Amino acid sequence: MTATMVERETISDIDPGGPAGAARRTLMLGGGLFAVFLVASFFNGASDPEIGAVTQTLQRILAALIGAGGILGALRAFRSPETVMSRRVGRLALGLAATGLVWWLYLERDGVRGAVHSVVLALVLSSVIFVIANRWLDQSLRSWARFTGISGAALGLLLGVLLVANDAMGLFLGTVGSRADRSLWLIPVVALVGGVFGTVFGASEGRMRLIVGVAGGAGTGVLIGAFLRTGSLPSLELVPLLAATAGFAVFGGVLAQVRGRDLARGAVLGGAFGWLLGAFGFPELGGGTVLEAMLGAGVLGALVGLRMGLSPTRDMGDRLRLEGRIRTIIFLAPALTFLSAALVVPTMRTIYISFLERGSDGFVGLDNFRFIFGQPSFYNVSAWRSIFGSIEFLAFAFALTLGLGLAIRQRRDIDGLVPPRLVVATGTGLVLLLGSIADRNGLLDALPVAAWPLVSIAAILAIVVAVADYLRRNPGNSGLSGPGGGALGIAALMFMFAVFVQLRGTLFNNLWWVVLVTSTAAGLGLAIAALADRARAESAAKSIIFMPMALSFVGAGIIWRFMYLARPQQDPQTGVLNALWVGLGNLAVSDRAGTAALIILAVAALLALFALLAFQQRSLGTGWFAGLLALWAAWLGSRFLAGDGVAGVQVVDGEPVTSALLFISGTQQFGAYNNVFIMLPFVWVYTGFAMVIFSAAIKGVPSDLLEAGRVDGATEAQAFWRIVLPQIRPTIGVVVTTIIVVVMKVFDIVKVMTNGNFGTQVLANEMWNRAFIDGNFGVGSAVATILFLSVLPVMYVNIRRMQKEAA
Amino acid sequence: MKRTKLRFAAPLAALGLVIAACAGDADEPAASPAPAPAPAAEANPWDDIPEEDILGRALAGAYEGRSVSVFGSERSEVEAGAFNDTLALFREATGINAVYTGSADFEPQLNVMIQGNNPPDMALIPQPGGVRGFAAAGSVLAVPAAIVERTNAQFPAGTNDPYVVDGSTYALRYKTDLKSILWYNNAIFADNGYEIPDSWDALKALSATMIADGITPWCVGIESGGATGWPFTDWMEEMVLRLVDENVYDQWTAGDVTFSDPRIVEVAEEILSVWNTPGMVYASGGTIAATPFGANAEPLVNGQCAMHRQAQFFASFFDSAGGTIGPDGDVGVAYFPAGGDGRSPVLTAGNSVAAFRDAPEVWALMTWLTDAEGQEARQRAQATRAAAASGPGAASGFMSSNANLDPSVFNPVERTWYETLASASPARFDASDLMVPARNRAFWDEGTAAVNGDKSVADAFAAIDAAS
Repeated sequence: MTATMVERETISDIDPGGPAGAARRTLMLGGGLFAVFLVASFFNGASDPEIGAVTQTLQRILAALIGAGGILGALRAFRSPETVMSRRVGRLALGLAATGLVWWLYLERDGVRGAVHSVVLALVLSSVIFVIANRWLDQSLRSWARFTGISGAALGLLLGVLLVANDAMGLFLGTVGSRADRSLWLIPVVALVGGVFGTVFGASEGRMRLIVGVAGGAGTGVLIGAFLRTGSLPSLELVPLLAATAGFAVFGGVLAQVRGRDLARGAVLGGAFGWLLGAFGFPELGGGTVLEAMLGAGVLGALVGLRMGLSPTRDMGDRLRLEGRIRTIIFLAPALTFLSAALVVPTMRTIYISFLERGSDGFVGLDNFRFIFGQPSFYNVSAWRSIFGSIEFLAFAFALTLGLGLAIRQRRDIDGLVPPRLVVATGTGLVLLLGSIADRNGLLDALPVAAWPLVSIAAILAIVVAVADYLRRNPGNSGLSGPGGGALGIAALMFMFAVFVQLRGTLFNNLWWVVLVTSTAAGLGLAIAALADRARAESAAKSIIFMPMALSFVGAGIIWRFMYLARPQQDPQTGVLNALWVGLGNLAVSDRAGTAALIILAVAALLALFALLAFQQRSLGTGWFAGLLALWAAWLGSRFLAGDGVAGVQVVDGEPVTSALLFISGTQQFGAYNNVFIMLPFVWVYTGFAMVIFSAAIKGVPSDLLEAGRVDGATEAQAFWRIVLPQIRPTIGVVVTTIIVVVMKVFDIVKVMTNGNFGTQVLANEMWNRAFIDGNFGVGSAVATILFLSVLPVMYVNIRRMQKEAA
Repeated sequence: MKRTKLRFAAPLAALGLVIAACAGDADEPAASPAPAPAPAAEANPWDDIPEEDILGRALAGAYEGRSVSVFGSERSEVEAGAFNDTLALFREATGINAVYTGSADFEPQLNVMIQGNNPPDMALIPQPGGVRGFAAAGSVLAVPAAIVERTNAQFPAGTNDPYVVDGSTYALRYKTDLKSILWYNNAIFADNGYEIPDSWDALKALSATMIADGITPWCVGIESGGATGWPFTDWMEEMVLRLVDENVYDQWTAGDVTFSDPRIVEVAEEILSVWNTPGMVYASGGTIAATPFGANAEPLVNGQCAMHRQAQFFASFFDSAGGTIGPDGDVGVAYFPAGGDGRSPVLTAGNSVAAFRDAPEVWALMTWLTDAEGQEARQRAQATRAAAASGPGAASGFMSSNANLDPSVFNPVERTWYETLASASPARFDASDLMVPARNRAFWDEGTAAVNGDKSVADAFAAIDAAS
């Protein structure tokens, strides 16, 4: 059966002479002392200081005794031959020892005392609540009248407390209001009325039930109305009251009809709600008389009672269902309470504060939002036209056209087809390319300002539609899985850069973070997970990549700040990247430049050879990569030989001039791209996270699927794109949404690296600055609300997907 | 029965924990010293006491055993240590236990504490704008009139004006910084026979000569973490006082003259045209905006640049950079040249003590700190600590404008600053500190953007106007 019963039986079975029996005696002694304790502590502090001091000392001694006794008992129990019983007794004794310790701390430390008080109070309160709730629910199956009676009494108790709570508080604080005469006695009276009403109502049937319901409801309502707080007395206005009641009655009736329920009940319930709104929601509270309050609450009670009386007496099946439902609610109550206290309430409050002025005093409507969007540092789209003539846009158009062209070629290689949709898309891409070149060179200035942007957007949309349609019709051999797809990926990246370099401000920085960091971290993580899978030294490689995850963002930010550090030209560069950059230049102008050039050229030759071999073996990717590296090395070598400087050192008029790169502390060299340098640490940290999860997902792909694919002649690449990727799609969703949510809230990295200077501000840091440095909680909350609203859709998608998966 | 009981065990435990967690939260503030007025049981300890007697009573031991918590931004061994020494003296004299806590994140922390209804008893607040904000929100207490009178009598007229809102004074000046100081490398000036210039134009001419002689004239760096940009705002204030005048300065401070005003924009452009002259500025962090303001001390001592403009508290930075100050030391001190129109304006700054708990021990401490005795105690303690840290005779970094001080607490260089502060006219308080926090921060941030060349001065200053 249950653990407690087993325990009880077996403890009494212990041989009284054995060590476990001794432990049991110790336990009993401890329990006795504990009881003395409770009595002693009751007197502690409650009476005059001398007795307090005595009980304090007494308690200390008792606490020490209990602790010692517990330890002793535990020692004896554990030293005895190992049995289930002796272990259990030992554990109990240990618990006793811990109790002694806590009690001692309780006496010694104020902080512990507060904590112990709250824990004990909380446990006692919740035990009481749950025991009562349990008894109450038991009654729902045994005696319905008793159940309704208890429910009525409980509701009455609650109402009574609500009615006098303010007064009781006022009595307590010494600020009693105008109607102090009614006081705590009201609580039992209302509870009693509720209990009687509940019992009678639960026991009555048919017409009697209706009468009891209306009469009891009206009576309770009148009683409550009579004792309503002065500040809550409504001044009734007939027209809105009746209009609201009638309106909601009709609405409730229609709703019930639509849902296939009883029309009358719906109408009555709607009418009750309308009456509540009309009587207490609409008019100014505090201006009315007691009579009006009695009328308002009485009719409300009567309507609610009528609704209750209309439903038939519950049969056993109803009761069982009701019991189950209530138990569920009670089971969820702790979690819901916690959620609402820690999450829902602060969120609501933040949103509320965002409509108040800086000190949360007056209501200012949307002014805070208007203010923040009026800040060019927050939202600046004045350069939108430049997007379409920027170098990034040109690169985007080029990569797009190239990618689509490569896809056509690949498709032709596969099955000799030239898909018309791709041809159209490629043609449109060419238009984009030529147009952006023309725009860059000022050839389109004669056209209306918005002409070329509109054409561009239309062209991009057309391409997206065409490619999407093509992909839908050709899910298998699309030709987009090879280099063409890669080029399209680069195109997407370039488009993003084109947009975010021109649209500036905190809001766009955050968006940029979300798009770039998420795609890069997830993409890199997936690539590494796929490539490292079953490779040599897989776990070592993955461990190293996962390692940054152990760092805090603050730590990562500081590390990368040092990496990017720039020093004046006279001083040695202490930042790693600038040391390399300037060191390379210094090497090129030193007397060892010749030797270095020879080495670099030799490396270039080796790389070129490697590329050649790779091309011969038809491994094109490796070949291209090595070939480009070889070209770059050859160029570097030639620069070394030319002797007019390279990288961080340029020779001007025969003199070497050093210049370090300002990665993050300014926009002179990299423009808005300093944001990207701040994003790198984040990518560095989160790639490991994505990799680990993807790696697990990849390992979870059934091996028979992969083997079947390979038997059918799939290459490794095809196996990845066609088998692994579809299998891990849900995981991709999880990783992407997780990273998006984390990136949205990015704060520490920016705070540490630039503190939002040089156009790198993000929402979370802006919120912090506005609220806690400027002391403007209105605007700060507005920024927090914007952040919250922008996270919502992602969370929605995430939750929907989880629900779908669960279903 | 048994089954149902068990079914409830889990939620029961969970709810217990939740309630415990909530109750624990609610308990904590109660456990810490209550911010509310002294409990009624103590029969209002100080309502009957004449305000001017508070310090006297405290010194007589009337409030022995009580505590005052003080919160501030000073954290260095020398500064925070000296303040703790001062509080120890106060404890010895009165038996009041004052405890100081310093935080690098002072402003946001203080805001959070106040918002959380858990403010310190007293805070050392640098920005009068912040004090006035708290006063408007009703979170800081007005200083009793008798104490204000007593303190005002010891300081130059108008010292506590920045802390006045609607006729009530909400804070009292504690430390006063003298900002209009030109620090220079003695060896460079002596070797090349340079003279200390007496006007802005002479200063520019000297800078040009230095560049021609192969010397980098200026050390400038304005990085300061979350407050990056404030040294630039100091330069702006100096130059508005010099190139325009103090009336415009006041209007500008109050917001009646905007940042977009051509006179203000011109001053910024003048400063930046000097800074951006090739070879003019040594910035050890690569750019002016990336160089910590404290990193200017070492190159000036080493002769990598010849001049630097910074407040008198910067002395402690030279101390830790291993440089000595004075006519015979590594670094010389002079008044930052005037505009050349006969006026000799002085820019000041400093911090103030403000109270958040209405209790006699708090007011007693506040009175004592601003009194000559407390100010001298701080200067002595800080001088001792500075000497221990960087050798005898080091400048303390503390400065006071209390007129009743014994001048012998200062070293010779400090004494000249003390005298300058006493006689300065026109003297003006740091404008950015007087602005509301949002405008102050925009001034820092947008100023940094302008210094960095990310924005034109006109654009950056228009953004400051839009920001508040």
